Amino acid sequence: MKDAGETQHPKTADYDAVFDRVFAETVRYEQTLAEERRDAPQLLAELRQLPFARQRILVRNSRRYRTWAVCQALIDLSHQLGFRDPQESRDVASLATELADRLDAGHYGEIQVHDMKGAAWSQYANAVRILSDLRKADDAFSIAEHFLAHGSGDLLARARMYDLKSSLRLAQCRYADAASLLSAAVELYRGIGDPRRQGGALIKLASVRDAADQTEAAIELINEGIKLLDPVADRRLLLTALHNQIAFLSRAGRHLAAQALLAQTRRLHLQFGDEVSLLRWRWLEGHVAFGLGRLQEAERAFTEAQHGFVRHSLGYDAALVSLDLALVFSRQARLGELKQLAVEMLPIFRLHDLHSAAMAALLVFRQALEAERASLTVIHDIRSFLKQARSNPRLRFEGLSSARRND
Amino acid sequence: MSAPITRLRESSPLPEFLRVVRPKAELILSKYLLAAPVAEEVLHGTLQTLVWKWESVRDREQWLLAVLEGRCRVISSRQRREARS
Repeated sequence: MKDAGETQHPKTADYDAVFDRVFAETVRYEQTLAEERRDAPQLLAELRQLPFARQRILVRNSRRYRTWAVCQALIDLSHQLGFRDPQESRDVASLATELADRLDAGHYGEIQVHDMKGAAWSQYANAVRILSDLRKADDAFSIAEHFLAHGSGDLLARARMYDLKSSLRLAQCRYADAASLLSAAVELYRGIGDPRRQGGALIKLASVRDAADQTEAAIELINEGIKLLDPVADRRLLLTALHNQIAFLSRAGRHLAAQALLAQTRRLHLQFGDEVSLLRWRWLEGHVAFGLGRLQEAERAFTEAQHGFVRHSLGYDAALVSLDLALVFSRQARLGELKQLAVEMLPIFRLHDLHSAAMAALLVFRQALEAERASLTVIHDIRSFLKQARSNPRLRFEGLSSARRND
Repeated sequence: MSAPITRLRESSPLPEFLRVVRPKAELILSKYLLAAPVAEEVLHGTLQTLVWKWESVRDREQWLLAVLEGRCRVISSRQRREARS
């Protein structure tokens, strides 16, 4: 092999032969892959009919299933299951890692197999992150990074891994790390000419900045991200982004701007939002009204949202909106209603998706009410704990910062 | 580069895509002075990955050129390090 460090330029004729050979192989390769892709849905359906243990045995022992296309289909399926069925999503992703481990490097090429292992482990890491096993997610992301570093240098796969890993860092409240991963993803998406994914990463980065109390930066980022979306193809993400944009404006104290945007986008939400997103919209209306000092309007919106979230068994949302309602009562010094609300919140906090630390926070809230010490700061402390605990159920409630300040 | 290259449409079939990107890909390989066998390995691997990801890559031309450039850069600096040591 010629030393590439030599200054002599390779002859154009050398490259001509390289291109001719590689292009011919690539076209042949595409045909082989098309056949694999055609067979994959049937193979996946066969596999999925079986109990999980049997699926694992087949993936380990039967060559029929060990194709790149089946592995990719498992990764896609795990991604789709995501929040809908997190345990199933984890099992499917774990199957994908086993399958990727057994792909024939001689047939697919070593670096391609590394790419597939990287993709499977990224998906597995995200699935266990959704299940709040943050340590396991961290380990799985390290494995994914190792494989991607030895893969084809696919920038889309790397950006996606950064994107997913930023959700883990967010759940760990490591906001600076989450932001730097997302900034790297933004640059990679820009580099490969993918403005829509770039916009998505900017919108996510805005949420990280907001979580880190950098609301003005969040507003700038979300404005930039929204401009890059395709209003038709990215409609769902656009609705979420518009929602967040209003929430950021409201949190930044720019209530009139929030109100104007709320009015401009209401029709879009009513037209395309599902029942739960309309409840979240109603909640947002409550926030904007609260910011503008329209307490009656805020109370109505929060109450409607609270009832809706309870109906849908959305424990954290119901708990958070209840605390917003507590803020309204507290602002008006309606202590009797506050105490009543705390009693009503108990069954809400017992809903299935709230953990014991959330219950501890409620008890602190109730004790503060009994002692008539429930200030706005107390409510804000508990609210902010619940927001973090939602993505990290292992978080412990360490009492109130206001109480600690008084010690 | 001799002639202007027409920007690809999303739906371009593979052979047409390869024909259009060839001069740009060749420029990248030449820029890093990669020997033909190394260039072949890099080009082969990158195109295989693209074929796999055909549906999920939105701007295939830009993806290919960016990934190719990235891999050439890594290989070239590794070779320089090896040559120095």
